[in-house]
Amino acid sequence: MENYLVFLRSIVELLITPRFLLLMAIFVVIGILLGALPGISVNMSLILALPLTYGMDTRTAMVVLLACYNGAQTGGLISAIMLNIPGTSSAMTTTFDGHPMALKGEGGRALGVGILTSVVGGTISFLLLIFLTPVIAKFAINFGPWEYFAIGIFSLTMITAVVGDDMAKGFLAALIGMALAMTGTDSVTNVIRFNFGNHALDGGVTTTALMSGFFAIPELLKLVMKDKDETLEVLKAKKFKGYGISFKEYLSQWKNILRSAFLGAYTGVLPGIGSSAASVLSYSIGKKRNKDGHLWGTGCVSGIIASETANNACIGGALIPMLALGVPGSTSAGILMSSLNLHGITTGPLVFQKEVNLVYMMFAVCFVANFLVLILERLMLNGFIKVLTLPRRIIMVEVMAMCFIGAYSSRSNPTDLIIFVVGGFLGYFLQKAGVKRAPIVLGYILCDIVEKNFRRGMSMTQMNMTPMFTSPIAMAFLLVAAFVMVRTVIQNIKAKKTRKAGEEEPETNI
Amino acid sequence: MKDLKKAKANIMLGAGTLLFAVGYFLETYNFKIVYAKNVIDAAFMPRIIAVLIAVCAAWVLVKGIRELHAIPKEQRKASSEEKQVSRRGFVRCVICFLIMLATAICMKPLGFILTMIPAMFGLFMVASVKGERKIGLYILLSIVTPLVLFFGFYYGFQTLLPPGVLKPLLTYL
Repeated sequence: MENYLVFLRSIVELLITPRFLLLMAIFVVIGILLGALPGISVNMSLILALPLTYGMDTRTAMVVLLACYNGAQTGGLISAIMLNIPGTSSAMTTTFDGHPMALKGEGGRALGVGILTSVVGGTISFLLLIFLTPVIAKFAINFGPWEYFAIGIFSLTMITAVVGDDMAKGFLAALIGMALAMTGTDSVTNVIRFNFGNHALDGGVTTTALMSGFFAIPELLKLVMKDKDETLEVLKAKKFKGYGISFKEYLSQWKNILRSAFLGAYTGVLPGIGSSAASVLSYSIGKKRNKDGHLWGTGCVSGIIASETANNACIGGALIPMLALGVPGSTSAGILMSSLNLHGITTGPLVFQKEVNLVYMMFAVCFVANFLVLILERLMLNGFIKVLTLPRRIIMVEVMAMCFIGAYSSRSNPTDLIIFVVGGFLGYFLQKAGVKRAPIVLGYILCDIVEKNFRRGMSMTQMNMTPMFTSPIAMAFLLVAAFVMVRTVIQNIKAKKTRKAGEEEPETNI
Repeated sequence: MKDLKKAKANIMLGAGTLLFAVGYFLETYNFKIVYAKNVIDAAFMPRIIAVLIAVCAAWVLVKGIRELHAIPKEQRKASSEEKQVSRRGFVRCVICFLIMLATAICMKPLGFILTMIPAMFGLFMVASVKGERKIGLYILLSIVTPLVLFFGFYYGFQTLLPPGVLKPLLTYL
């Protein structure tokens, strides 16, 4: 009870201290702008803001970084919807329905719903952060490699939900993603793999460079291949009021919202599985479970809700293990943790005893920054729409310049620029051949979790796989994974038969 | 025509990824593997991935060949107009690739500003169509954008993008 009073006192302090409020507003706006720029990921935004906090006290530093984190996480939806390029990798699934809505002239509505639902997702996860931290931390602390391996396998089976009717290409895409993730130093035995004699690749293929190329370059090439920009006219967004969705309509999605928020928060809690996997998982499950799931990918508000609620819910989730166990739930949480370390704070169970005021101040910043996002991003929206409805050929070239910076700045390594360019062209040709992007990204993200934990598990149990089948948590995940696989294959066969009978599958943006 | 394109794409994808899988598998023999008791070596997972890629690639390839055979011979040729449009697009695509690759290679030695100015102008020219080009605007944007980005990132975020040959001048500034 006492701790909750500290939390409320921190909220009041944030609201009545002009310095904190102003800093939060500034860094929420900076975060939104950086997040909206394709190629500048949430991690990148935090890395860019980090040096500015070196001279600040710990509380001010956390105000700056958490405001930036919240802003950037939400900003990614802007370019995802208007340009079909996710500003951040976690907004990838937002492109599936957001961009088709923009093409229908409903870009403003899509953006409004995206902002609203991001804030709702964030708020739910922050509530979980405050009330469930001790319980979830206790649960997650018992996870061993077999449990993580099972979670990875379970998440990989979710690929079946986004592969569409062509299972072979879907699996191929996921495997290509996994193959790319194998580059660099192996985390178990430190063996360097697939560097082809180039030591710049020892650190692996950076996510920022690869994802920027994968999403930005195909969009430029699509324009280059055409003689006329057909999207120019239709992208002009219609005017809309409020957040583009009525309260009643939004509430009718309560199942979708709660499911996505809990999935996002839960995925965030699991170390290594970041917001990108959270949004893909939430979208995949939502597509299967929602009534209008078969229409997702054609421009459905419910698809945007699933994606954006989950990726923002991940923020709160990722902070739980970081604070309670000293294990960051995501790379962004890792950057926050390193900033705390720089200020002499060691995260872990003891932080709740030693730095209780700071911890609850951080929770309060998350809450206030989240609501600032709701207000400020909405105010900035019309400006964004105007900018993003400028001739796409001009915008895309400007975006390319930003992507070059994003690809280079994450490691200051020129090889990343080549990865960006080659990855982009590879992505374009794969897309042309009908290979979808979502399974590639999912395979890329999940491969490390699966491989690392399988090998660690085998080493710990002297090459014996029995513990995997005797662990109730691992077994539960594996059984669900098997069930999902079998069900999807049956559904796929049924869908093929239906189509043969004359029913057409809607064209999607996945 | 859509079926023909799909069949050709499947064949190319299947063949390409099959070759990739073979190369990927063979490359695992170049790893400097550290063998230890009770440790799965670093080549284990890549080899499994390579085999699975090969299986999926063969599946796509066979599917493509079967789809191609299902199309009557007279429908297998694209019209000359379609060929011309796709050739024009392909040439632009290759130019785009060359510009971006050259930018990636020259960024470190020449610097961000000097590389991005011609690269952006080149991309504006390739991305636009004859008759719609606004060369004055493109020149202006190609010069202003790299300068704004370079100094914006330097002063705003203390991030130094590659200065390249302009380093002495930029240090002086």
